[in-house]
Amino acid sequence: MFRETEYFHIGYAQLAVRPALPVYSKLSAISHLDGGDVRWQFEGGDWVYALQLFGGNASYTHQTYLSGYEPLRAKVDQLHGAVVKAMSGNFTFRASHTQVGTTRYESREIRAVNDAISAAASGLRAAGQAAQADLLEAYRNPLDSRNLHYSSLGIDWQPGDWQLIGEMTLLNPNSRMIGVSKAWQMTVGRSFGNITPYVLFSRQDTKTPALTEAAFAAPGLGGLRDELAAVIKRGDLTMRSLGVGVRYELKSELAVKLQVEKLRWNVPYVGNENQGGEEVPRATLVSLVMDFVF
Amino acid sequence: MKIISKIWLLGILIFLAESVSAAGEIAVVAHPSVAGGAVSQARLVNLFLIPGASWPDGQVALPIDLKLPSSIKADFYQLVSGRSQNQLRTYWARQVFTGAGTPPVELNSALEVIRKVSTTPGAIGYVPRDAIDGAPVKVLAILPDQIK
Repeated sequence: MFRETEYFHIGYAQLAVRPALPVYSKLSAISHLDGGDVRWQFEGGDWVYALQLFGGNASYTHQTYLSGYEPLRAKVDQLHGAVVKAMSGNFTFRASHTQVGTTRYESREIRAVNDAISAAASGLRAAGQAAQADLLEAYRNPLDSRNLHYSSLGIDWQPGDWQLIGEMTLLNPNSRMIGVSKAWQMTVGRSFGNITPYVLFSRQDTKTPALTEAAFAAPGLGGLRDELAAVIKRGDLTMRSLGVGVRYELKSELAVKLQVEKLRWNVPYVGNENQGGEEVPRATLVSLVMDFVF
Repeated sequence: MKIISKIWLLGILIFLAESVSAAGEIAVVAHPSVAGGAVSQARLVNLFLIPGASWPDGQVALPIDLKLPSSIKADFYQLVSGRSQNQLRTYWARQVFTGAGTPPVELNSALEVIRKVSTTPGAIGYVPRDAIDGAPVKVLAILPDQIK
C-alpha cells in the first residue's frame, strides 16, 4: 500500500507524469481508508528504520470504463498490513504486505448475473443435480474475493543528479475471476539544472483463472459461461510500457512534463467491445502536463 | 620601503584569500547537548530530510532551515544531499502528501538560526562559518571540507 495515499494523486511529487500503469492501475481505486495506523521509527548507525502498521475498511466506486455498464460499488473490509522502510542518506528501501479480509462488488450487471445463476441453480436442483447447482452458485458475486494478499518491494535512490525509482508487486486476489498478477517498474532520471529527462519501463503479468467448466455443463448455460469468461478476459491486464519524458521546473513549485509512453497489452481488446471495440493491443500515450503545489 | 610594500601587499592577498574561503564555508551547528561529535554525510541527510530522525542518544532532532533566497541553503543541500531546490520541493511534496512529515522550520537569518539552535535541545542548523563568532553552539562540520 506504499502508494495508496494522497501522494498517488499529486503529480508534482512524481518524477514522471503518472505512476506506472502496469504496476499501479489495479491499486489506484482505493483512495482512502477508514481506520488507523501506527508508525514506529528507530535508528541504527546511519540508517533510519520505520515500521508502519495499518488497518481499516474502505468503500469506493470502481469505474469500469465500459459504456452501458454501471460503475461497481466496492466494499473492502478487514484491510490490514505493514510497511517497513530503511533509509540512509539518499537511499530508501521499502517492503510492504497487505491482507484484505473480504472485497465485495455490487452493480446492476452483477445483480443480473446473480439472478441468472440463482434461476439456473434452482432449475438444476429441481432436476436433482444439486452438486452442479453448488458449483454454479459459487459464481454468484463473481468478482468478490476473500483473503486478498498484496506485497511490494521498492527502492528510491538519488545519487547526486541521478534518480532511480523501482518497485515490484505481487497481487493475489484469491478470487474466482481475477487472476494473480506480478508487476514491476523502473524509472531512471538525470537532472541538468531545471531539466530532468527520464526513462521508465514497467510490466505486469496476470495469470487468469480458469472457469470450472463442470458448473456450466448443463444445456442453456453456455451464454452465462461465455459472459463470465469475457469478464475474466477483461481482468487480464497483462501489459508492458516503455516511456521517455522530460520534466522542466518552470518556476518554483511549478513543473511541466512531456512524456511519450508506448503501451502494449496481451488481451485482444481494451475498452468497449459493446460498441464494436477495436482491437488495441498497442497504444502510444503522449502526455503534456503542468503540475504545481501550493 | 619596497620590501615593506611587498609584505603589506602579501598580507592583503592572504587576508582576501581567507575571507573568500570563510565566506564560502558553511558550518553545521547543533545545540551543545547533542551527543557525539562529527557527523557523516548520510546522517546529515537523515537529520534534515527524514522527519523524526534522531541523534545517537535517541533525542529527536529539530532541523532548522534558512529561508530562501539564501544561497547558503541551496549550497548546503547540494553539498550534503546532491539535490537541487527543485528536487527538494518534489521530495517534500511527497513527504507531506504521504503524511510522513513536513519540511524543517525556516528562519530568516543566520543569527536567528544560531539563536534557535543554541537554545533548543536537539536543534541542528547551518550558517556561514563566519557567523558563528563564539556563539554557544556545537560545530559538527565545516562544509565542504569536512563532509564524508
